[in-house]
Amino acid sequence: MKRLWKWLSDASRSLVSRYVILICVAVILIPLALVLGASILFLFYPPDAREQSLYGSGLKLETMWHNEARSLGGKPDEAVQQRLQELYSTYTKATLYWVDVEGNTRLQLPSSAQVQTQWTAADAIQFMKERRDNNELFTVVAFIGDHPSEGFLVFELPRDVIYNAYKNAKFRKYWSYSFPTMLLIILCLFLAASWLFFYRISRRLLRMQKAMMPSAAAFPGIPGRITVGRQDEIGRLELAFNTMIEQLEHGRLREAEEEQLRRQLIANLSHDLRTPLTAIRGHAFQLNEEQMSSRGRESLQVIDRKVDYLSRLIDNLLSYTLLSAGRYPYRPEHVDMNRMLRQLCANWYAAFEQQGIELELDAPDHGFRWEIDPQWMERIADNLFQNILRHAVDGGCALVRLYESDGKGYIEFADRGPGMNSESASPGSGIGISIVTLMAKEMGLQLTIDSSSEGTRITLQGLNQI
Amino acid sequence: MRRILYIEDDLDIGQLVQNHLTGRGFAVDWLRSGDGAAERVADADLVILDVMLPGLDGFTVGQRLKRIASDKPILMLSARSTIDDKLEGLQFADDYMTKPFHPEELTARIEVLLRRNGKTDNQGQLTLGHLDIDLSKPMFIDQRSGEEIILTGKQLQIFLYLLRHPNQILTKEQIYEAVWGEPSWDGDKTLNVHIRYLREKIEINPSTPAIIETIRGIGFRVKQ
Repeated sequence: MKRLWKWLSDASRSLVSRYVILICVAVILIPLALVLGASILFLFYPPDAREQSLYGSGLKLETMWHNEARSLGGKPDEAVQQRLQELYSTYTKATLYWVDVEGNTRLQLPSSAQVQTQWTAADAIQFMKERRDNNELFTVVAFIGDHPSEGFLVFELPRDVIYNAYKNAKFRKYWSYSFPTMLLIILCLFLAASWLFFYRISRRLLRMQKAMMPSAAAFPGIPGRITVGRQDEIGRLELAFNTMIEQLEHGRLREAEEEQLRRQLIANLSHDLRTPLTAIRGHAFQLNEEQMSSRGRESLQVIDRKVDYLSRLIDNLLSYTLLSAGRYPYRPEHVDMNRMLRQLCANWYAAFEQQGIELELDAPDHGFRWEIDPQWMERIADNLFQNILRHAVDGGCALVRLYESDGKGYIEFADRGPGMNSESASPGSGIGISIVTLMAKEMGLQLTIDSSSEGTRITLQGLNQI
Repeated sequence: MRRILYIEDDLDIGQLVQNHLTGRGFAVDWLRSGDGAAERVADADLVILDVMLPGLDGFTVGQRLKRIASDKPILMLSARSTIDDKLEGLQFADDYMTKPFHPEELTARIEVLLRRNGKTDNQGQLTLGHLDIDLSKPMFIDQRSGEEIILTGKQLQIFLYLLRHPNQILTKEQIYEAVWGEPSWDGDKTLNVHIRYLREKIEINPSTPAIIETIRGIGFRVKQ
């Protein structure tokens, strides 16, 4: 018993066994319920029960009539007449009549009854034959005083007065439908139970689906946890789901920590590299103030330029790492590109002038606005200007051109250098242009690079804001 | 003599900057950390602050100094170059320079900050081509004739703005906003007209200007 109980409680933890139990119960229940239902119906509504009959059974009436006839034997006609009147007042639904020995009908009750007035022997036999197989009339014939010499008395009743209606007549009419109806009800109950069973399963599964929606997430991209219900298959799935989420969250946290560490490391590295560079530049500057040959001064200028280059490289390295990790802060705003490019050209003009390059800005009177991060745009322009300075000094001129076409704005950086595919005197890692590409893409700007031995033309195309 | 409070933990760089600034006529009070900065800030005209310091970091030190003496300009001088660092620094500091900086740029920026604070060194006397200029009056004398050149209000404002930013290219927008005080920019016609009249008064040959240089498409510059 204990083991059975344990088996049952184990079974209740499994969806399969619960469904099997449901079906078993249904299969056993159907015949059982049919038998039980029929018994109860039979007990409370017996189909053959009849109403109490009005004047008692036919046998009782027959005995009564014979006794009455016997007791009237030898009595005067008035007494017979009076007694018959009394009996008629008791049996109002009956027809009573008295025929004397000569064959004359002496009395008929009620008087409206159609009884022949003269009886022959043949009439009497005909009457007896007719009444014998009559299904509608119950007839008792008795000789007065039990002797044929005094005439006879007839008592007639419609048979349905004796045999009264069935007690459950209405129910009896539907009795034949009761079994199919019960079967139908049980089937419906079973269907409802099945539906409920699967509805609850699907509801629990849907709950899990809902938990996977981004809105329920505690971390972006990770579903929220769910409360575990029953310990069945879905319950185990929910447990596994929660474990998975825990691991995901743990992973995400660790990833964030690692990312933080990486950023910190690169920021520190950048700082540590810049500090000695600062010292180098400072010392070079100090040397420059001493008495020195022209070759010495040239060397110092080279040192200064290299320090600049290194510093930018470090900057780009840091930016590139942050950018590719999606950690570079992006704060877009509406920027007047005309004004911004003019400012950037102004900043770089002196550096170009020093190298003997003429920097020209060709911009319309009315500029256009882009939705971009000005810091990013500055970095893009810085890198492009830096590239021109490093690779296209020989061209002798650089042009920044702004123009509009079809609601789109274009910013073009052009030089007359030897092009990107040539063997440059100072090859770079290309990290500068990689950053330009990445940033332009992130800001939704279309970057076109058109480079030949005649020069390089880099165009940014953006959507103008109103 | 203008005094600078300089907080830097790197001995090498500290020594270089101190030498450089001393050579440019500043009195430099150099501290290795933020300790004691609060007591000395009152004597200084300007503070130069590194970010990575032993003990309290430069951002914290700078914010404290600003609370004590809000009128002292602070120049952050740091090897931390990310935008986030710059934005954090500029919440309280007046300027942010990244290492490796050019010593001359440092001096120039210090001059700008001090000038903004009314601590100019020279008396505003300078010579530009054939012009003798006294910025404190202001007064412009043509050396050839010894006569004073009289400028209208807008002409004077434009010229002074250019003179206060020597060797710097100022964009049309910058000049327009500084002189007219309006952020809106309706083309460069108005400014060009005023520059043309200004040149007619101060240039020897207005068609080949020698004092106010036009940088095509970008702006104007006065070279000293």
